[in-house]
Amino acid sequence: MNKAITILICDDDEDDVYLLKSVMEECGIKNPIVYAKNGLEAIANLNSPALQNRIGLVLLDLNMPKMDGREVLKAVKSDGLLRRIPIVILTTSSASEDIDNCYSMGANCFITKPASYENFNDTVKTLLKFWTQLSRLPVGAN
Amino acid sequence: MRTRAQKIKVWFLIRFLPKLGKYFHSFSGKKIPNLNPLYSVPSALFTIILATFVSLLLLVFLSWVTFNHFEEMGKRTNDVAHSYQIRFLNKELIKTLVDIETGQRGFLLSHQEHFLGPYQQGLENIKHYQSDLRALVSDNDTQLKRLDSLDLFIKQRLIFIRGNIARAKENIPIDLKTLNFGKGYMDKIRATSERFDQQEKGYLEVRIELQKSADHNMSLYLLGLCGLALAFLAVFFRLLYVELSRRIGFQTELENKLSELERTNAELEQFAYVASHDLQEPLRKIRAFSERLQVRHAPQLNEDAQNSLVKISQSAMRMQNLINDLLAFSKATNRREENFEKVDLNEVLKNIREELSERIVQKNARIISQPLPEVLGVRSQFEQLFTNLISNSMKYCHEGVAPLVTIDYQQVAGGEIPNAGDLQSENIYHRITFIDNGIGFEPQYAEKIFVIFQRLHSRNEFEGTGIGLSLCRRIVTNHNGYILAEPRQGESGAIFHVYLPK
Repeated sequence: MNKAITILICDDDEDDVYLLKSVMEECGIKNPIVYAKNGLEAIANLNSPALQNRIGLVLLDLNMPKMDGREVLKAVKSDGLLRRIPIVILTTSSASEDIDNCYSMGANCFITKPASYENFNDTVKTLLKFWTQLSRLPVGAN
Repeated sequence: MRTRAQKIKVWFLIRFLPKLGKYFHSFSGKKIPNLNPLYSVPSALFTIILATFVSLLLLVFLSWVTFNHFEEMGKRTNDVAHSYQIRFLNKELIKTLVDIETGQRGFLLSHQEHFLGPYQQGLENIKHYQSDLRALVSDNDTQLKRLDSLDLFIKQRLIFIRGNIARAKENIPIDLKTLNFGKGYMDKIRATSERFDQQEKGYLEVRIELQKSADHNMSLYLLGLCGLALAFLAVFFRLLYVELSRRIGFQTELENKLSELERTNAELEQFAYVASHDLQEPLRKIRAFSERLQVRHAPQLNEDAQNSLVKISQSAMRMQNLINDLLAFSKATNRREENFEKVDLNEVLKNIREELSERIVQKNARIISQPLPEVLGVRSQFEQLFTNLISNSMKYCHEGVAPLVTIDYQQVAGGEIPNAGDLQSENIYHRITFIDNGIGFEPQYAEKIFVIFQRLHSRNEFEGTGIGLSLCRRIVTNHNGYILAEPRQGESGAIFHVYLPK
């Protein structure tokens, strides 16, 4: 149903990317997925003409080389065009300062990287629905 | 006095100085800082005691010598004045006698009564001078004898004078023979008086000479003593200076070590945190992948493989718990008191009830508490403490018996805390007692259960890492308190006393 919406997975850990992918496959999420190994690639992908306006969900790791998740979050949420894209923070940190900090910077959801991905499925599906309920994608998506 | 002082001087020069020299030598400045406390502490104490003692002794000695000197000087001055007085009175005596003679002579020539004025006056005065002189030389036999003959001659002389005046009054002419007798006595008087004076002059010269030399000697003596005192002061100043520099050296070194220790501790804390944090990452993946295997490839796996996967998961889970507890333990090293805030323990208990609500319901547990106090400390650490104690009570319970945790509160004096020592006996403590109806423990393990990784049960009986109670002790110690455990008397269960300073 949400075939037009591309999911951006931004994580430097290949195992985690593999796990996410396999969980999503299992849950029947068939949206196209774009990968970024660090914050710089994520920003480049978000702004790339080929992908622009198609990325509708970002799964973001906090600790990454070059440009970390916090910086990406800050950049996206202060960008007029990109700020409405939901961002799910996926991280190992369960420190309350980190969680509060991310929400205050505009994160939509904070998931502590679990050993099992029971809740993950619901969250991703709910956030994907966000776009269908809006009836159209933001800014120039006609 | 002088001989005793000399003795002291000799003793000082022969016995004491060489020892002091040796002692002083051992304190050469190059040895700073000597880090061997066994060497430095008693010798330093000895230095200070010795310095104080010798200075005090010197001060007393100096005062005594000065006092003695003034005492003696006063005596000598008195002696000199005494001699002067005697000589003066002797001269006055002769002068008065001359006055008497002059009065008589005038009367003999003029036959007029008023010429007898000095004569009458002289007779009056001469008695006083004689008795005064006698009193003054009463301690000197030679002079007394001279005075006796002088008195005798004066008596004779006065008899002649009186006779002359009586004759003149009756107009009897004065015969030359009588006059010559009178003059003879007068010459004797003068000669005796001169001898008396010469003797006294001799005394005076000796006394003045004595005083002069005593003054001179005393000046030298005092100068020497002052020099000695100065030398002592210099030596002790040096000793104390060396000692003090050594102390300052130690202190600086200690301070450096302390800050180094603080830094190392902080690093260690950071290390423990990072290590635990990074250790969790691969563990999480072990769990995630084994779960993937179980979920996705269950059909392909036989029972043995599935069991192995379950074991892998369980081991990883246990390791995760261990790491989490270690992490909590390393975080609890935070004992900086500036982070302390007022914590209402009732609120802490309320939060813990909520946090543990699932397990409380599952175990059908009851927690009954008296109103608890407000204390100074780190809130998260108190939450950890309450969580650990209450979870323990719920964990170590009898099968089929609903756990019951009773929390008592009382204020007690520090002296009532067992094994706390006398130091805190005056302070008031909050005593919070956790009593449960669980399996308890043997009394001999009351201390052992607080040792890290120490467990009384195998993992098959009760899950656990052996960190929980040691963490509790660490938290309570951080708050300058005490935690003690005892089994319940007569019935099954454990009692934990937490003492926190008021």
